[in-house]
Amino acid sequence: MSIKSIFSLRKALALMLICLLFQGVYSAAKYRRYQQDVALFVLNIEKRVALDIQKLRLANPLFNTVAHQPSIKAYIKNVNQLLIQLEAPLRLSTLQNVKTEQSYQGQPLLSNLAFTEQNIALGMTVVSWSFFSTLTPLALLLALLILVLHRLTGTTVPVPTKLTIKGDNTQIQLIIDLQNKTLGNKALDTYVNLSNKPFCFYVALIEYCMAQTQPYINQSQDIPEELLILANKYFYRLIELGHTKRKRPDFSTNLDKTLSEIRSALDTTFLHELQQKTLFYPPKAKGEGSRSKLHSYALVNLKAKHFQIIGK
Amino acid sequence: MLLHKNVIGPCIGAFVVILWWAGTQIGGHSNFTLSNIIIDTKSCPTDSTTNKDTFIAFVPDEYSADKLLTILCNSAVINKQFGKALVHWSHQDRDLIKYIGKGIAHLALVKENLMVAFATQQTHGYEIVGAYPNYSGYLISLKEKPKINKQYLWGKKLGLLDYASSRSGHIIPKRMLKDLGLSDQNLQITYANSHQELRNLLSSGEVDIIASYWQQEDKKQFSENYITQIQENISGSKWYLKMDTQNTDLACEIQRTLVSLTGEMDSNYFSQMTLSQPCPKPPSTMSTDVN
Repeated sequence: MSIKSIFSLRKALALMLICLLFQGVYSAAKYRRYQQDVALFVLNIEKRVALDIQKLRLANPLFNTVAHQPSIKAYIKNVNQLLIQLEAPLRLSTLQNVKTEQSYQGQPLLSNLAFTEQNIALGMTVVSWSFFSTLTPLALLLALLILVLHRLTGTTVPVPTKLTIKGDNTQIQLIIDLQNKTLGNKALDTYVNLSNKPFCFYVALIEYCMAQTQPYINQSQDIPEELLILANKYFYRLIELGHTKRKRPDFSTNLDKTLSEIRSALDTTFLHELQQKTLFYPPKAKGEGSRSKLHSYALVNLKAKHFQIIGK
Repeated sequence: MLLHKNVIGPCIGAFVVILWWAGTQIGGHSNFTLSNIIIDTKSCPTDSTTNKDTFIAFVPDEYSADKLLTILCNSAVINKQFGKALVHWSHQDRDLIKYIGKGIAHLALVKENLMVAFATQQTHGYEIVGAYPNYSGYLISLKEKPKINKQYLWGKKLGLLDYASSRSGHIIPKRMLKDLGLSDQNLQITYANSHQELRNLLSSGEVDIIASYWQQEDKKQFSENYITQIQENISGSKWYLKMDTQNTDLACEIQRTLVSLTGEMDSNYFSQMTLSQPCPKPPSTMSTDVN
């Protein structure tokens, strides 16, 4: 596995998306933790002030006393020093309207402590949360790990399949059953029914491609006459087998739809076995314009040993 | 190694769970409490490491507490007789009552009226070892000389101290108002926590008059012409030593300590301490046979 192949455009996009997902999850978790910490520190500051209230020289309207500003300011400053040491997301800004010269940026938060003689207002400042502070290399590392795992799975899965195909019988991967009008996968034991037109056209396509040394069927040109004859032949065979009494379909029309139905049936037949499916899969057009006009849907790599037609 | 494509989904799921867990656990705060912030006690261990006794002193402010503790920690007698020296400071009557009323403090700087009120000599054996000079109580104003009559004081904004044991800042002005037939409702009284806070109230214009003592430093802020004496000869605070045993070594050491402390005080007033009595002589060690 080369680094160059990993960092292809598709891989890079996948890496970015997975990395973003991981980073998003981590940041969301961090934000939740931040909210919990804010709530925790609010409770702790309230508890600290409640414990110290007897020694704080605060104003009390009931007794006409005024606050001792220097000691209250010193108290607020000390609390904030402690909060900074603990890397708390909160600062104490005012205590019963006494505030220090130091101002803090953030969202204000008010709390009210109800004592028997009076209510004490606590003003706090919630330090702003920063997304950038939560950026972690872990997200990138785990995304890379996922990509490596994906790469490993992509290369190792087909290996056991290749190793098991040895004899002629085991190499047969697609079974075309005219009697049951199905495409079947021997290995997965999956059989898919197709309607008359795509079924006949697909069997004809296989036979046509097998007859050619270098099959080439341009999708933007008329369907070769030989292929249409073969398709008609298989339709009559289906009539003989009792599958239909209907009028013969026009195989030269709606080619895209016919091929689409064939591909869909093959998708179901082979499920995740991508490499095996490609042998039988009429290639899709890639790109636009002149490139797509030259597109061929012929089955180039298909060999007789790969399939079996029953009821021919 | 054979890996199936289906492992990718579970792997992403597992990593999402791991990242969520890491995000909620790393860098958070779980078990913590905001430690004590208000420090009103300082102490030092002595040379007698096995001694469990603590020498406790009570003073009104941190400045004198620091000075006193340094001297006590270096005292030979304290090092012999106690395992620890501790100084607590507070201006609040509540703390004073706790330390003196219950006889917890060995040494305390207290106003005489409080000690008399709690009969501390009888209950715990507190004896005066040093005293500061008497002083006078004044009404102090910013822009005119205060008058002591009902008409003048009616409706004025008056600043007093909020602790009821203060003579110049509470008891004497309150008694003056009562003698003049003025109640609290006839004036706007604001209570401050300290003499300095009273001065701040006056200079900021929040009150018209304050009741306090007069000191030389006040000349920088106020005019001596705008003060009116309410009462003279208010007894100054005194140092009390708990003499529940005849511990004469300790008494003499404390007197020496107070002399040292007086020399270190910045305030002119607090550098004028006098010892109440000479250091008592130790009892004779000779025994007399009585036949």
